Parts: sequence; structure tokens; C-alpha cells
Amino acid sequence: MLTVENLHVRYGSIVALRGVSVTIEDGEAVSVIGPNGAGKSTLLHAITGVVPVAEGSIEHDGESLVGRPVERIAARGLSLVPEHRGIFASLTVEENLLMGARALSGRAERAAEMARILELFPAIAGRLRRPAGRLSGGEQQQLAIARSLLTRPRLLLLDEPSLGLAPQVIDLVYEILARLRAEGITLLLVEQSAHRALAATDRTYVLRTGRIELSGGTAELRGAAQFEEAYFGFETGPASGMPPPRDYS
Amino acid sequence: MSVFLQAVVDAASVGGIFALMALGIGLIFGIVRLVNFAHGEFVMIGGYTVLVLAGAPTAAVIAATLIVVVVLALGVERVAFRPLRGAAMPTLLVGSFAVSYFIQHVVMMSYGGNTVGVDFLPQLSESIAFGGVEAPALQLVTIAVTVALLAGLAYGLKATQFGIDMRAAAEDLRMARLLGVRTNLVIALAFAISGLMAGAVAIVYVAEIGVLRPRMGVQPALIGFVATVVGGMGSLLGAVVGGFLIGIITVVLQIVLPLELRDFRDAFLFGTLFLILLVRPQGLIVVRWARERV
Repeated sequence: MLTVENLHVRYGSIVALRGVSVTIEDGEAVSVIGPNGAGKSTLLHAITGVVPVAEGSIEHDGESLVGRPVERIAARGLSLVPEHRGIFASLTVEENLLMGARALSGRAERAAEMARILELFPAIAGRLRRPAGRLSGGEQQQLAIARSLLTRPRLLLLDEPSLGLAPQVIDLVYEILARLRAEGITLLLVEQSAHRALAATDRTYVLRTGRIELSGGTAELRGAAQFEEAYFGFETGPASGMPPPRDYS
Repeated sequence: MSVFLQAVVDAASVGGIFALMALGIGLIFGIVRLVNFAHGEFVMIGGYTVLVLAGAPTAAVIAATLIVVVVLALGVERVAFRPLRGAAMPTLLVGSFAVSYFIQHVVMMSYGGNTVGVDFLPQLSESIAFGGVEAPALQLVTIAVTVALLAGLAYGLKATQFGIDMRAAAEDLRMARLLGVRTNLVIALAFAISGLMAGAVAIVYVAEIGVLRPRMGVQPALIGFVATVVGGMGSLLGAVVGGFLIGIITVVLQIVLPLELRDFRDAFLFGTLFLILLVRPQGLIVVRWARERV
């Protein structure tokens, strides 16, 4: 279980997060949605130790993660699939997967786990010897998720997995996420695309300009009137006189 | 024909030393983004280790030299470069110059600034004739050492988890850490391998030139650095290609330049390298840089 409380993060004089609190129970799928620049990636980076925490606490199973090196947090089973996927382009697909499986002991275990995970990702299973940089965007996203799964994550953090992908490919990625959720993997999903994120998770937080504006079960939020206001910061629809927002799905 | 073969042997042995220097510098740059000019001092300390141990059995001298240089490289990383990790490029550059001059002057305090003769592996100066070529045994040993180290490194980088970790860290250190790669370990390993390369260069270089002085490492380090730039900064293959290319150009100039110009060979060498950079400023082999984004 992960508990983030009153989290503040600053980049120099810019305040990226101002008092964010988020909890994720084991086995839960949680999403954080919000417009560009809301601080979604920063939240994931603070949890994984990539950016320093200015104030507040982050606890995983009762132990503080604040100030711990990135690799130690990773070793606890928190695995980030970063925005832009973080594929090692000069390594082969197989070597990228081995980077995920590096903590597994022994060649046999690594091979078995890799074979098991690759069943979920037929698109990359046949291209193990290829340089990963040659894969398409969708394939790279699948590789990034497969690589993270090989770390046997206790919490999988995904930063905008739909970014820059064609709609059919996004469908595929979300199908995979749905399967992982069904398997009971704990997920923290960050997205701009509210509709997909709401459908893919149990609970959601709406983040805007560094604050949680709204949170709750995805089923209740989907119809809620205050949802769009929380996301965009103003009321939408004909009554407000504002142009209708772009559909981010 | 024999002139050609002779030239090939010369180019391979000279280029091999440059390639090892370039690789030692390129390996560190790839991961830490630090141009380690103190690499030349690693070689120099190796040379003085040979001097200190003169008279001991050859195998012991070689083993001790390699160990001393590897330990020095690890120590420099721990004491000087680790505290600077993540600093801006100019800071790192000045830091590496500082380390370089510091080591030079510590040696000067003990041995003075003048050259000291050292007679290491004199038996290798005898020529061996084969296939119409006559070359000093040392040249062949240099080539063999270069090939062995390059093959060993290539195998290690390709076939071991440490090697994959290092290549991944070189491309995107943050992502490698997110997958559990321990930064300190992978950087220390890079310095250890870099030190091993410098130690190997020290042994063949000292046997070749037969004299030591505190600034003896500066020129090879500079050429090694130039080789990494010409080959393509960040590419290990580029560093090797760049090193051998400089060896080839050097030997070709030695052959084609008229006698009265040979003393100025390096002017032509660096002029040629400058022309190469004009045509390919990004270097011969281009790597895709990892995105740096917070």
C-alpha cells in the first residue's frame, strides 16, 4: 500500500505539486488525470525518487520513500513506465527485457518469466533480436510495459501510456492494462485522456495546477457535474458561455 | 607490398594504443558525461609503477601495474568525480583538469619534472620477420593486447548483465536506475575498466618509449579524446574507429610526407582531423542521444 500525504515538489521557484495526497491499496487500479502541466508526471517522479520532495511524505508499506535513491525504490517493487517509454533504443528488444528481468536469479527463471510475459505481447515476441529503436511507437509502449512487468512489480506506475499512439494502438494498450488489472496488479495510471483512464481504473484523482481538485470512484465521477470543472477549471456546456472543451479521449 | 604490410602493422599498433585511450575516455563519457582528461595520468602512474617495480618478475610488474591503475581510477572516481556527479559540463571538465594536474604534480614532487629512463621488456625490441615484414615484437604484442582487450570488452558488454547494464546506463542512466541498476556500481565498473585499459596502455607505451615524465600522459589522452570526438562522442565503436583512424593517418603521413616536413607531421594530422570534423561534425558514428527530461 502506497500513501502520499501533503506532497510538495518544486523545480527551483516553480511549484509543481502543492499538498497532494493520494492512497493506493494493494490490488487497486487508480488513475490520476488532469490537463498538461497539472503535475501528473511530477507525482510519479516524486514517488519513484526521480525528483526530490520538498515537503510531505510518501510511504510504501509503512516505510518512507522520501530521499531514497531511485534504484532502491525500484528494488521495493515500484516500477515506472515513463512518459516517452524510456526504451533503450540501441539495445535489442531482448536486452531491454533483460534489463527488466535483471533482478531475477538465474538464466532459467529469467527465460521462463520472459516467455510468460511475452504471451501478453505477441507483437514484440517475434522481434527479440531487433534494435528496440526500430520498433513502432505502439510496440515500444508494449515493450516498456513488458519490461516493467518482468521486474515483478508490486506497484506499476504508468505515465501517459497512450501518448503519441494511434487510436487502435491505444485500444490495444488499454486491453493489456485491463488484463493486468484483472490479474490483480496494483496500478497507478496517469493520463490526460480522462475517458480511457476512468474506464481502466477503480478510483481516480483529478489533478490541476499541482492540487487534487476532485477524487472518488470512477463510476460516480464519470457522470458527475463537477468533474469537467475540476479538470478544466471552468464550467463547460452551453450555460457557461465558454467554447466546449476538446475531447481528450 | 612489404612496405604496405609494414605500414599496416605500424598503423595497427599505433592506432591500437589510441583506440584503447579513446575507449577508456569514451566509456566514462558515455555514462557520466565527463571527459576525463586525468586518463592520461592513469597511464603516467602506470608508467611510474613499472619504474618502481623495476627488477621484479615481468608478470608481477604487469599485474601490479594493472592493479595500481585500476585502484587509482576507482579512487579518483570516489574522491573527485562522485561528489561532482550531475554538475554542469564545464564544472566536470575543470574538475578533470584539476585531477590531472594534481596527479602530475604529486609525481613531480617525488621524481621531479625531468625524464627518467626505464628499460622495460627490452627483449621485445628485437624484430620478428614474417611474410616479408619485419616488425619489433613489441608492435605485435601491442596489437595482440589491443585485440584481446577489445574482444574482451565487446564480449562483456554484449553477453553479461553487467555489460547490458552499462550500455543501458550510457543511453539513459535515469531509466536504468528505474529498473534497479545501481548508479555507483555501474560507474565504478566503468572506471575500473577504463583503468584497466589505461594500465595496459601504460605497459606497452612505456616499453615502447623507454622514458617517463610527469606529463607523458597528456598527449596520448588528448589524442584519445580527439579520437572519441572524430569517431562520434558517446559511441564506443566510434572511439575504437577514431583511434585506429588516427593511427592510420599518422602512418600514412609518415610515408607520404617529404622528409623535411616529417617533423611537422602532427600539424598535418590535426589538419586532416579538422577536415573530417568539417565534413562530419557529429563524428563518424552517431549515437541517438537519450532524452534528458525532468
